[in-house]
Amino acid sequence: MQRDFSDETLMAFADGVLDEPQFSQVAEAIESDEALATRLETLVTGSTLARRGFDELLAPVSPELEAAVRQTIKAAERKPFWKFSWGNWLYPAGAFAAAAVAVVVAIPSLGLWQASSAPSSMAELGGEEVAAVLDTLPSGGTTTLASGTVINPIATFTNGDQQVCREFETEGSASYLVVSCRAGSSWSVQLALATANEDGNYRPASGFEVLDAYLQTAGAGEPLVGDDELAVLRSPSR
Amino acid sequence: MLPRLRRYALALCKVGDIADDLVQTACEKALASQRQTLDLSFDAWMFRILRNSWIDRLRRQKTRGEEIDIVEHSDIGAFDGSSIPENRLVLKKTMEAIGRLPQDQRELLLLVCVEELSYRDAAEVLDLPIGTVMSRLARARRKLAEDVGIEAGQLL
Repeated sequence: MQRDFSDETLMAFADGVLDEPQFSQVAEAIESDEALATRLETLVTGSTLARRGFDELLAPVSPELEAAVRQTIKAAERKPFWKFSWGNWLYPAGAFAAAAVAVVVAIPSLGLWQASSAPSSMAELGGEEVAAVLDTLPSGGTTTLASGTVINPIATFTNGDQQVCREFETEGSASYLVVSCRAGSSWSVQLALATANEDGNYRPASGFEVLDAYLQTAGAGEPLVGDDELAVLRSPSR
Repeated sequence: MLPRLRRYALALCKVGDIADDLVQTACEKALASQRQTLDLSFDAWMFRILRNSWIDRLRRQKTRGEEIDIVEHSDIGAFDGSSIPENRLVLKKTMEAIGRLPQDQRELLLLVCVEELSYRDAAEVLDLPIGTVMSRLARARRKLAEDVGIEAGQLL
């Protein structure tokens, strides 16, 4: 007597994931049941065709997409804060309470600059041109200012005061990792960490831990991505 | 992983530019989140994030009243078949048939037959019962083979 098997059972047989005793039952049945064998062949062919067809769609991604993803990964690697672990905390939160209101935190040994002694490029960070970039350019993007300074937004988030803040890096005569928050229609620099000086020598990575500690103190929320980020940037200033 | 993610994005949306956006968004979301489901393979986890990004996008488009004209913009099935041997013509026919499949069948073909996800992992990616995944996948395989033809399929 011939047994009927469902397409799902035949497919599982073809894919080698059908358990015994059904596997043996199907194997035996297709020997004598031509219609069943044809149904099995149809399912196998469907899989083969799918593989060959989709192979044609596997192509290297565009350099633009690759660069954007690389930038995203770079930003994530610099932000252990987002995956915060108490065990990694280098500095007590209280030490950075004042940072939330300071223009720039002054810890020269870690490469942080005071506004009074900052180089001229620091003034640029609080300028209108940078503000226009922060208002519009999503994280992962890059743009070059008239001065030649390159701005790379890394992340957008809201702080404990529900201000929209952005972490970004600059590349120019000196390089900085900066956090600015939107206040009204302008952006206010909260923290600027020098990551490379004029001769291009990078400072110790411990400076990033200072940034992480600062962000934690500021009550920064999860980074906003995609349309969520754009919506916040476009929303009316608080 | 990026080319494979983009191929899955294409299977979902059929439009190259949107596929690029989906891959970028999925990478951002993956990097910004902790991987919660350790019993799901990394590939399946990434596919699921990308698929959820697509669903979010569809939801927003619906809210905004925007619709994508997939016939007009489809990058699947757009295959130059001029002056090519018979097996290339079969391949062209195959890609067109894949492009005509409903999205839910097309993505299952990719996840299971191409990416070799288990039925269970595919069910996790699509948030469906495994029985639904199996019946939908069997339907997709049968439809593709019938559209292209078993004899023609053997040329590939």
